[in-house]
Amino acid sequence: MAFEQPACQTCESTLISRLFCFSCNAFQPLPREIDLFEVMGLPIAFEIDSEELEELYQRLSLELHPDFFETAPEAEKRLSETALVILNRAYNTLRDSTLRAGYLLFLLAKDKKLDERTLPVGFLQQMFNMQEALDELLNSDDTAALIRMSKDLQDRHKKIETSFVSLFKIIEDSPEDLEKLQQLQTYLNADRYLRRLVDRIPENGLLQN
Amino acid sequence: MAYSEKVIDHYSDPRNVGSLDKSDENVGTGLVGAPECGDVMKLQIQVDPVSKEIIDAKFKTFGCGSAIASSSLATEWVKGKSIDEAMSIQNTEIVEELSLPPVKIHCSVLAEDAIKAAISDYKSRNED
Amino acid sequence: MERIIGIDLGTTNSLSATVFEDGPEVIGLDDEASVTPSVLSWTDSGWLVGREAKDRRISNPENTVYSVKRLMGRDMAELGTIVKDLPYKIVEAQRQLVKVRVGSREFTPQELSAEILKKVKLKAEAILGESIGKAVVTVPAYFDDAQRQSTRDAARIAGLDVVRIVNEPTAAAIAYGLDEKKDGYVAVYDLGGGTFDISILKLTGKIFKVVATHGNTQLGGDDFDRAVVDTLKARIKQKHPDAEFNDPETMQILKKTAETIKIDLSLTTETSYSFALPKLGLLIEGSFNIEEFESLIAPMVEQTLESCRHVLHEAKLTLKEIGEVVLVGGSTVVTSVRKQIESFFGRPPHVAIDPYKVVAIGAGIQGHLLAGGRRDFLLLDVIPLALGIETLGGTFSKIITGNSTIPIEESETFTTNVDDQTSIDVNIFQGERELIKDCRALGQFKLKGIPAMKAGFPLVEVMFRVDANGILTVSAKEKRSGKKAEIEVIPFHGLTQFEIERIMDDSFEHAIDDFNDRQLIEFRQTAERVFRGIEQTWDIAEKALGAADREKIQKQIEVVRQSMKGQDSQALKAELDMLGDLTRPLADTAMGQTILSELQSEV
Repeated sequence: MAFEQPACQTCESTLISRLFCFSCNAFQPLPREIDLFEVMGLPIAFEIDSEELEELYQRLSLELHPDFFETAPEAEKRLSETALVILNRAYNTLRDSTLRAGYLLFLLAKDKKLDERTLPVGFLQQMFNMQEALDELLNSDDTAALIRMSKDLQDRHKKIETSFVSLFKIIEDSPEDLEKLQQLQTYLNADRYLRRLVDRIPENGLLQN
Repeated sequence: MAYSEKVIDHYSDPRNVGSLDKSDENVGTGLVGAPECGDVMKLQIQVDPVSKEIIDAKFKTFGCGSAIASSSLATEWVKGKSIDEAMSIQNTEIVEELSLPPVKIHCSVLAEDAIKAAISDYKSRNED
Repeated sequence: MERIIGIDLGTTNSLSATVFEDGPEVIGLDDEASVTPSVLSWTDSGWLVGREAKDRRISNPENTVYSVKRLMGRDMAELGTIVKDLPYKIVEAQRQLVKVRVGSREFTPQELSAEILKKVKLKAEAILGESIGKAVVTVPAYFDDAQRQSTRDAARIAGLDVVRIVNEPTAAAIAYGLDEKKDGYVAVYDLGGGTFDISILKLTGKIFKVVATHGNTQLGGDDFDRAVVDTLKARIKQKHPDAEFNDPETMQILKKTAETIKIDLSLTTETSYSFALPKLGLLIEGSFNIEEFESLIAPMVEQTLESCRHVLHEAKLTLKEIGEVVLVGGSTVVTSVRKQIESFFGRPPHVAIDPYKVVAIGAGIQGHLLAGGRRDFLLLDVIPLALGIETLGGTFSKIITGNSTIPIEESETFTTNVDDQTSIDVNIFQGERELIKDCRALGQFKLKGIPAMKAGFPLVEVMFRVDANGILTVSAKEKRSGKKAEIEVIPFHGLTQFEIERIMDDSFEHAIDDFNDRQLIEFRQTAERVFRGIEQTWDIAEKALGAADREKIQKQIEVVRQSMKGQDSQALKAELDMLGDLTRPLADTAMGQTILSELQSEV
C-alpha cells in the first residue's frame, strides 16, 4: 500500500521521511499523529526492507540527533529532541515483527471493532502447560530440552510471521474484510504469548552456540 | 495493616498457589489470559456440595507481578463465600486513605474474570 | 567554540582529556602528571587532593578518604560490608544520604567528588591556559539515576557544567572505534577499582550504537584487594590469635600490601611480602603465589562472566558474532582476569589503547562533538535499567525497558483498584526486578482531585520521557477528568538545589578560585618539574650544547625562579616558554627526549 509522498514545507522537494528534508536540511513541522511508516519512509505493509529501515534510521540520526544541537538555540534543540523521540519510536516499532504487526493492525482496523482478546482454540491451555513445563525445565538444568523448547517456540513464531505476510496481503486488496482482520488479531495475540515464553528462557544467545 | 501493605504481602508471599483435582466434580476451573502482555492465570475453587460454599481456592499465574498479587487476593477473598456472593465480586474495600498506586488495566479484571470462569465451570458440571 | 573537556572520574584515579590540534589525548605533562589519584586528605588548611593525599594514607589514615565513588548515591544499607573495611568513618545523614566524617566535620560524597573534580579542572586549566566551564563526565554504565544525579551534583559544586554524562564503556568504544574504524559488534569489558560493566556496541560507519549493557556497581579491584587483606589477616591470626585489625593505620597498611601483591602477581607467579604493623608491634613476612590469588578472585571474575552471558542474551547475540573485545580499567591488567576473558570470548582482547586512558579520551572526543567541533560520528546511548512505577501490591511495572535508546518517550494507561479513589500515588522506580523493594526509588508525586469513580473506571496515563542527557521527566494524567501532574525526577538520594548552593558557598571560602592564582600554582609546579628534567639531562647537555648555550639555560633558570616568586602567571608562562625553547636541542638527544620532549610541547 503506497502513501502519498509528502513534500517539504520549506523547499517543496518530495520528502523521504516526515521528520526532515534531506534536500534543504529543514526540520518538518510535526502533525499531531504521525504515521510511523512515513517517518521511516516505508510503504505501509507488513513486509519491509530491513536494510532500508536501518539505513534511513542512521541517516536521520546523523542529521537530527540532539548531540549535534548542543550549542544551538533552545527551540532548535527541543525540535531535535522531539524528532529523535519519534524516530526511535518508529524504528523500534517497525523493526520488531510482532510490534510491527500490532501497529499495522492498529492502522488498518482503526474504525472497526475487533475483539482484542481472541486466541486460537485450546491455545491458552497449551500456553499454560508450556509455562508449567518451562518452570520444571528451568529447575532441572536440562539444557537439551530447553534448547528444544526454544527452537519449537522460534518455529511457531516463524509460522505466525508467515501467516502475517499472507493475511496482510489479503487485507491490502480488501481492507474491509473483518474476518481476516480478526484472524490477524488472533495470531498477534498468540505471538505475544510465545514471546513471553521465549523471554523466560535464559541465556538464549549462548544456547544457540 | 494498611491496604497496600496487605496487598504487598500477597505478592511477596502469595497464598493458595497450587492446583486442585480437576476431575473432582466439586471443583470448578477457570483459565483466563491477558493477550496484551501474554499473562495466563488458572484459578480453581472447591465447593461444598451441601452448603454451596467455596471451601478452598487455588491459583497458578504466569505473568506480571500484579497479576500474581491479585490472584492471591482473589483466592483469599472467595473462600467462605457462597458461589452467588463470589459471582458478584466487587471492590467495595473501605480504605481511609484513598491515595494508592494504580493497577495495570488488564490485571484489574483478570482475577475477577478467573473467578467467574471457575464458577461457571463448576455450574456447568453440576447442572442436573 | 567553547571547549568541553572529558573527565573520567574514577574510583582509584581521575583523568581529563581533550582534542588537541593533533588529536585526542589526556591532559597532562606526562603519564604520571595526567593522573590524579581519587584520594583526599584533610589538613588544617583544607583538602589535599591527588598524589599528596595518597601519600598520607598511612601517616594520616583517619583523615584520608579514597574510593568515594563507591559511596555516590548509595545509602547505608546498600553499602553493606564496604563500610567496615574503610578506615574512614561513614555516618548516616538525612534522607538516606551517607556522609564521611573527618574530625568534627562531615562531608557528602558529592562534596568529596567535587574536590577531586576541582583538582582535575585546575590541572587542565593550567595546561590548556584557559578557563574550563563545561565537561563530559563518565560514569559506570550500570550507575542508576541516583548515582548519575550525584555525579552531576558533584560537578556543579566543582563549578563544572556537565554537558553530558557518558557511560565509561561507551566512551572507551568511541576511542576504540575512531581508532580502528572497523564495523561490527564490540564488547567492552570494563573492570575498574570499584565497578564492573560490560557493554556491547554495534559500530556501523559513523554510528556507535549501544546494544546492551550490564554490570555491577559494587565489584572491582578494591574487592580483589579486600580478599587478599582477608587472607593476610587470617594468616596473622594463626600465629597471633589476639591480633585486632580495626585501627585505621593497620587497615591502610594491609590494604597497601594487598595492592602491591596484586600488582606483583600481574608480572610474576610468586611474590613475597614483609611489613610492620606498628600498632600491633608485629613484623609480618610471607609469600603469595598466583594460584592462591587466582582462587581468591575466581568467584568475582565468574560474576563478571555471568554479566557477560547476560548481556549477550539481552543483545540476542552469540559469542561468534562479537568482533572484538576491548579491555578498560586498571583491574583488567590482572593476568588471570585477562586469561579468563580470553577463554570466555575465545579470542585475545584488544589492548592497543591504554586501558587507563581510553575512557577519558573517549569522553574528550564526545565533548569535542558536543561543542560543535565535529560531526564524524554519533553515539546512540541507552538507559541501562528499566524505568517504571509502583503498581498496587508493591509490584514494579516497567514503562521504559532497560537498554532502550535515548531520547525516548513511552506511556502506559493504568486504573484504580478501589472504588472512589480520588488521588493516585505515582511512585517512580528504576530496576529490573519484579518487586519495588528490589528496585531503586527515584521520586514520587500524587495525582490529586480525581472525581470519585468506580474501580477500574479512571484512565491514568503515565508518561515517561528520558532526554538525550538521560534526565527523566514523568507526567500523569487522568483522561476522564483531565487532571494532570508532572515532575522532573530528582532522586531521593540526590541533593536539593538548596543543598548544592550551600555547599558551593561553603567551599568558596576555602577554594583558591581565582584563575590567575590557580595558574600560578600549576606553572610553579611545572617549573619545578622542568628544573628536575634539566638536572637529569645535564650530562647530555655538557656534550650536546656549547658553553654559551649552557650558560643561557642557567641564566634563564634564574629568571624563571625570580618569576616564580612573583604573582603574574602569564609572565611566568612566558619565561617558562623561553626556557623550553632554549632546552629544545637537549630534547633532541635520545635520553633527553623521554624526559624533556613533553615539557617542550606542553609548557
